Amino acid sequence: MNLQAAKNLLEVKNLKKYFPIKAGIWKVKGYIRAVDGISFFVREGETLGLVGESGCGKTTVGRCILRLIEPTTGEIYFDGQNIMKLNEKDMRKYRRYMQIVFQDPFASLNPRKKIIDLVAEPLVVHGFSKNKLQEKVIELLDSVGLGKELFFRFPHELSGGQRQRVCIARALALNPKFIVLDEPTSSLDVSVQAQILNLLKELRWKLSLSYLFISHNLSVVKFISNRIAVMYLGKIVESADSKELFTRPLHPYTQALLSSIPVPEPNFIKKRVILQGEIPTATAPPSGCRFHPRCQYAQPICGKKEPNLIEENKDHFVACHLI
Amino acid sequence: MQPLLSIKNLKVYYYTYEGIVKALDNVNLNLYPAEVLGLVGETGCGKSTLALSILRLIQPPGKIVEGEIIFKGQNLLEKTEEEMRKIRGKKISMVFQDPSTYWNPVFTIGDQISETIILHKYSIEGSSTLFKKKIKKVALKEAVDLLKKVGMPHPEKVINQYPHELSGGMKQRAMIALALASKPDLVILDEATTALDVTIQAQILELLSDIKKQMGLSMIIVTHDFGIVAEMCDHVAVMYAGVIVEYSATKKLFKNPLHPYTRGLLSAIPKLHEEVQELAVIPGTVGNLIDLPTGCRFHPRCQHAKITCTRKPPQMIEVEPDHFVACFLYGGSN
Amino acid sequence: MPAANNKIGQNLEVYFKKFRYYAYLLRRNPVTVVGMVITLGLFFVALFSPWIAPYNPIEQNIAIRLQPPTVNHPFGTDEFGRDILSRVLWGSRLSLGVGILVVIISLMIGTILGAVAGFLGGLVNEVIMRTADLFLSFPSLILAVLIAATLGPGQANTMIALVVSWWPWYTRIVQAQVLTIKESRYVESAKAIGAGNIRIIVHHILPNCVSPIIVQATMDFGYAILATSTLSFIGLGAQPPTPEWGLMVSEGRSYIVSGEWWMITFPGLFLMVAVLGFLLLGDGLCDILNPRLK
Repeated sequence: MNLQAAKNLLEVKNLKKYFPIKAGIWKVKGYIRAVDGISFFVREGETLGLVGESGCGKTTVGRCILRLIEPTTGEIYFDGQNIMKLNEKDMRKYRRYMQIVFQDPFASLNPRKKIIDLVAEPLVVHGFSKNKLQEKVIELLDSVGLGKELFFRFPHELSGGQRQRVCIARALALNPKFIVLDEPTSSLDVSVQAQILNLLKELRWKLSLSYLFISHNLSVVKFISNRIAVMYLGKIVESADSKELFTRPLHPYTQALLSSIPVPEPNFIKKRVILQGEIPTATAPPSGCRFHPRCQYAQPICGKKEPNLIEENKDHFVACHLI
Repeated sequence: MQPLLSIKNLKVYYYTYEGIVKALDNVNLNLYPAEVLGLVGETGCGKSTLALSILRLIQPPGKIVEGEIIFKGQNLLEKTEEEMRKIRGKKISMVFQDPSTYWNPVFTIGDQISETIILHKYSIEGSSTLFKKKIKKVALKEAVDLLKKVGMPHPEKVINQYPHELSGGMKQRAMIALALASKPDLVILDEATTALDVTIQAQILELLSDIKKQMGLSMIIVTHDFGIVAEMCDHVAVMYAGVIVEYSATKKLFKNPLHPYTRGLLSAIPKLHEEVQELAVIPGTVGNLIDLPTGCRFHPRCQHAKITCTRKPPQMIEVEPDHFVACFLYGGSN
Repeated sequence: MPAANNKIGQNLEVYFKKFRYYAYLLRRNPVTVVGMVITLGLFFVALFSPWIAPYNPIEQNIAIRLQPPTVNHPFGTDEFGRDILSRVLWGSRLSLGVGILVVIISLMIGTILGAVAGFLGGLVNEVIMRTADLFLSFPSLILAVLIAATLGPGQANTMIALVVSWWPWYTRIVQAQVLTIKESRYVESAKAIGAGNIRIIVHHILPNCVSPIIVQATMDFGYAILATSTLSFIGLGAQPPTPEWGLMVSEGRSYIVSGEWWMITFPGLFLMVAVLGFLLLGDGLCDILNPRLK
């Protein structure tokens, strides 16, 4: 499938989300700049991986796209329509096409509802006909590899992998075009993770889905994504095609990230870049390039001016003064 | 060479409402001085239970039913609680997974580290208050030195800070400092880096390598991450559903994984330096530890399973030097 | 047990498993069983009192007045010759009935207000919660006395008085629960599939608030019975000749000195046992409903 030629399904321009820090009931002390002006796009049928460590804002991005959290500013175009301009009612109609799967499958399912109700809920909310409901639920559970013997069970009676499959079935119920996957396998065991990742790949191919795959685990992201964007402290520092990013990481942070991952290969000798210091907080980000206090190549300009995201190579963007 | 720690036929069962959970069954393990052993497995395999059993920290309804844990020639299971207290934190110490919950939020880091130092090094029972204060000062200085050793930035400042003022990585460093306070012979790390970001994890792993070289102590690293095992460990024990299925020198395990479960696990991990279309999957799930299958615990999920596998559990066989596996594929079915 | 494939079979399996688990919990909490027995006994008595009571509770028979407990009148007779046993049994009807009504109405009002306050937040939350605080700042019994005194004596007015002083408790509990549950993942998930606010409150938030409400309500049945009796004791609630426990205690007060101890003792005993039963049950429910103490 020629992804380069496909049109943009999702386009995000200059998205910002600031969380106010309250002092008392009315006064605002400052802001947590969780997402500070990022732009990216996801083409039809493509999977964009979003990686970063804690505090980089990737989870917030996922929620802002679906307007589960209201972005502070920015434009989000889904299939050409600026969804930031929609009111609550119209937005609900668009929710059919954009779904989300969360990290903790136990917390994502109402513990008092049976599986059949949980999977049928999206259909019920959007007015699906009642007599066809059971059939459709069986079909959905089947597509994620679960049988109808789970109909009357409760979430706590299922294993972690089964629960996550239920969450995926729920997300697929309305035939979406785009799914945000927020660390969907981080709380699962390795063998279960493999099953879920294979399932996600299969569904993507069968149903022509686009994914935004958010994770801190680079190996997993590489497995499932076509393109990857690396975030640090609310900004995208590099984005490229998967293979390209791993063979030619340009940004010092990407290089450090890649070299930090322990490789399950004892003879693998690598030059490890050990970053000094801690990840700063998003309330008072460093001036200029946000990574410069921890960067081994930092120059004076890095502390003064923030680098823009420039296209160094075909589809390979990086924000660094040294490029 | 005599092993530092020798576990023989360890059985740990949990007596719950729904039945007896056989968390560990007939576990045999040897750990030598200045060696790093990795315990790998998925949820429910018993690796954390094993780590806790060594220090006799198993709480009811769990019980150590049978077995011996011989540390430096003495059986820990025969010791009194009083004697165990002299060993915990002093000869054998432990670093836990979530640094936030294991620090007391109402005391400073300095207070908590010096408490351990005072407990194990000095005996101040019944001394005067003045003497206690003096000892506390000495202990605090030692704490600062310890924090320096683990690479903590601004240790004099950290001594006076409370746990919530530190980041996850710093708390874990302080925990490691706490574990090293009394120069133990063995440090057990139970998923110590799982909750940390990957760049911070890299810092901690480097720290642990340095400590291993400098202090020559033994470590048991409990993890689910094969990457950490490959990087840090001399020997690996792979666990499944309460038993050790494979034990070997690290390089040999990765070069030639023998047990079908080990093979399955290694192929299920997405790797950075390989291109795969689909990840290999181990069919089925672990199941619960109450209704265990007869014979080999892995046989319901194993593609090589035979009748022998259902009859009795396989014994550990040495297939090549320093590489043991518990599987009938490699013999032992008489 | 082989897994059933049809709806009925599966439902039965679920109930059976639940039943076994609750039976186990009860075995571990014998005190709860005591509470359950008492409350069930009380309900039974209240329901069947017209048939169990040997005599008419308000029928006077001056000839046999002030008789100590005998075989004919196991609890003795009062100053008008009425059989105290029958009066006590009928009294259970009143106490229980009023208690349950008061709790249920307070619960409904409190839950709706609490849910609205917690869910909408902001100004609405402030207004509702501060109003609740206002009511809560009065000692509840004194407030009830004030209201009952203003409205005048009578059971209906007692009920109104008690409801007015009790709804804030439920509002508080529910609001706190809603605030927490509002932030949970599954509520976010419901929003993501396009569920509207009403659906979220009714299907997702309220069902998960139920446990603390049940515990509080159960204990409150006991307190309601006590409060009703208290108001009747001071003359604001039930009026003579209604057989109400508090009233009976009040009427029997002057007779202790002259030695007719049975007039106070039996209604008082029933009152105590009733309240105790509900409190024990509520306490046990608290443990049972607190998930997963396996």
